[in-house]
Order: sequence, then C-alpha cells, then structure tokens
Amino acid sequence: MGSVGVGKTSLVERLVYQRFSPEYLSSIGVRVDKKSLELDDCKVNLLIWDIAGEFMTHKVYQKYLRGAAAVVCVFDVTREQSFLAIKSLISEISNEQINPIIYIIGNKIDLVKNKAEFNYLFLDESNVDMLTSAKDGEKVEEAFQFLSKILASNSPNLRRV
Amino acid sequence: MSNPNAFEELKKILLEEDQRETKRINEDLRSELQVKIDELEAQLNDPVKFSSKIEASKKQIIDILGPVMGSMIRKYVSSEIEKLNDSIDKRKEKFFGLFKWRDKNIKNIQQPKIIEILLIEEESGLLLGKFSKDAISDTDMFAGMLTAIRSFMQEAVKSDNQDVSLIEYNDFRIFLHNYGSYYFCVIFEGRNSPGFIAFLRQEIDTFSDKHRMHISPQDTNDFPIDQLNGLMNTYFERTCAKLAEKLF
Repeated sequence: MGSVGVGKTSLVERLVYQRFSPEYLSSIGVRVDKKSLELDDCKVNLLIWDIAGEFMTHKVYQKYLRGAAAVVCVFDVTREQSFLAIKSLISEISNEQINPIIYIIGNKIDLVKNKAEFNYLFLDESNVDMLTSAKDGEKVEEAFQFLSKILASNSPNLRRV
Repeated sequence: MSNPNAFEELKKILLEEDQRETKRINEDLRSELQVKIDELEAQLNDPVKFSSKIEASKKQIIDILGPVMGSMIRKYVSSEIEKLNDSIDKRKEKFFGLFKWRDKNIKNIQQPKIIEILLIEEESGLLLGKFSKDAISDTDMFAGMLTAIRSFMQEAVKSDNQDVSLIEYNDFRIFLHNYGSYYFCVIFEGRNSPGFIAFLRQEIDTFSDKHRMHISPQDTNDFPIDQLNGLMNTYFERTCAKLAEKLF
C-alpha cells in the first residue's frame, strides 16, 4: 500500500511478469500478481495484491487487507507526505483487528544523487525495511526475498504445499 | 332388267342444276374471300393499320384471348407456385432437419461440463485446493483476483450477507458456493440449469461436511495443499462421473 505515485505498481512490475490487465487497478482498485521465490530451505509463493493509491481513501481497501499475511507499505523517499501517509495507514491497519506483518519500503532511491549525503530529514531509517529503486531494479528482489524469509519464519497464515 | 347406270343418270338429272349453283357460289365466295384475305394481309403487313385494328378491337381480343390467356397464366402461375412449393418443401426439409438434429444434439451440447473446481480462502484469496479436468492458466492468480473482485462487489453493494453466486464469461460459467472462511468456485461450460446448480451445491456440501477439518483455514496449516488436492480429485472425479449419467 502507499500514496499515489510512490511506485507500488512499478515495484511489482519489476518483480513479477504481469498477467492481469492494468485496467483492474483503475476499475476495482486492485490487481493480483504472483511471484515464486526460492529461499534457502523452501519455496515461497507470494500472492501480491497491488492496491491503487487512489483507493486508500476508499473503504474497500480494508477488505483487500483482510487475510493478508503481510502488508507492504511503500513511500517515495523524496516526498515526506507519502511517508506520513504510511504512518497513518499503519495505525489504521492496527485498528482493523488484523495482524499482518508490516513491511516498509522506501522507493525511488535512484532520485537521490548522493545517497551518503542525502538528508533523511523526515525519515527514521530504523523504521524502514528496505530502500529500493523500481526504476533501476535496485534491491527489489532482495526486498521481497527478505519479506519472504520473515513470512516463512513468523507467519501463522502460511499454507504448506 | 335393271340398268346399273340408271341411278347415276337419275342423280345427274335431279342434281345437275344444284351442283352448278353450288359451284358458282363457291367460286363467288372464294373470290370474295380472296379479296378479304388480301385486304387483311395488307393490313397485317402494315404495322400502323395493324395496331389501329388491334386498338379498335381491344375488347373483343380480350374477350377472345382472355380465357385462353387466363388459362395460360393460371397454368404458368400454378407451375411457378408448384416450383416454389417444391423449393419451400426442400428448405423446410433442411430447416426441420436441422431442428431434428438440434433436438437430438442440443441436450448433449448444453450438458454442463465441469472444467475446474477451486477451493479458495475467503479473505486472502489463497488457493486451498483444486480439482482440474481441463486446467485454466494460473489458478493461484485466478483465485486471488476472483476474491478481489468479490470483495469489491461486496463493498460496492454494501452487503456481507449477499454475494456473487454466478459469473458468466463467454462459454464459461463460474459458480461460487460460499461458506464462512472459504468458498468453492466451479468453472463449467454448458447450460446453467437450476437442477445442475442444485446438484453442484449438494456435491460441494457433502464434500465440505466430510472434510471440513482439512479445509477450514484455521485448522489446516498442518494439512498440506497437495493432500487436499488429492481428496478433491477423488471426490470430484466421482461427481463428474455422476454428472455424465445425468441430463440437466
């Protein structure tokens, strides 16, 4: 989840081969994709629900979150507002009586020319799980590998194949 | 003794005058007729005169030719109608032949055929198990997207109690049978008759009752999907066999 334009769909597109039409995103606010990842000792099938940023204010997005093993919250590292939106989202999720793993990704790191000197004024890095660039593909696969490991070791909602 | 020529001589004496008169009349008539024929011939060879003659005698011509022409026209029309009837009969034969073929085959064509049965977790859209006769492309993604669409519709019509139960797409139909934490999705082709839907519900309910402890998501984490697939395959193969014996 995340605000409009933070790069959620780009992240998913970088990760998986899309099969459903992107029109689903604008019509019902979600598109489901699948990604299989090989971990050290197992294979994880991720079913990724890419929820349109425009639907964050719509009640239906709460329905889309039900049953989720993890919620990947994406923000744009160059837009503080998108990070604040994530914080608000997380508190809403806690109120929804659902208990998914919250995984935070800061995207568009490619826009930061000098990462070492980049001033994360708004960012508490300890709260961010991964910084990625959907444009370059930087850390995208790693982000979902890392998430899969967390899920494989912690989630009670996983089904064995 | 009688004279054998007496009769001929008597005939000559009695009829000589009449014969002469008859001959004269014939010659007169012939010459008169010849004049008339010549006149007529001259008129017929002159198109202006002929057409004016026809025009002047139109009523008479119609009177004379009418019945003849009428009869000819009737004959022609009757023959054409006969031809038309023949043609209609042939077409009818083809047409009703098609109906007969249809009657014979339509039930077989429309007979529902199960393609796939998916068991899907209600909220996550995760595929819990499946039975495939003729597999669709990616059942995991299909299950997820179907669940998303259901969620959207439930929210759109603001009702958790009512749900989508049938989706039609081209030749395919998707029947959804809902339980609390999971639902079954039956993809089939053919006619969607109430009898078939009742049959499906019955079959699914029986399977669900029998294997609830393996299906229900909170109880199933230790029950591998492959085993559930095995149970579904065994059970729904029998359902398909039963279906083949029924006619909906």
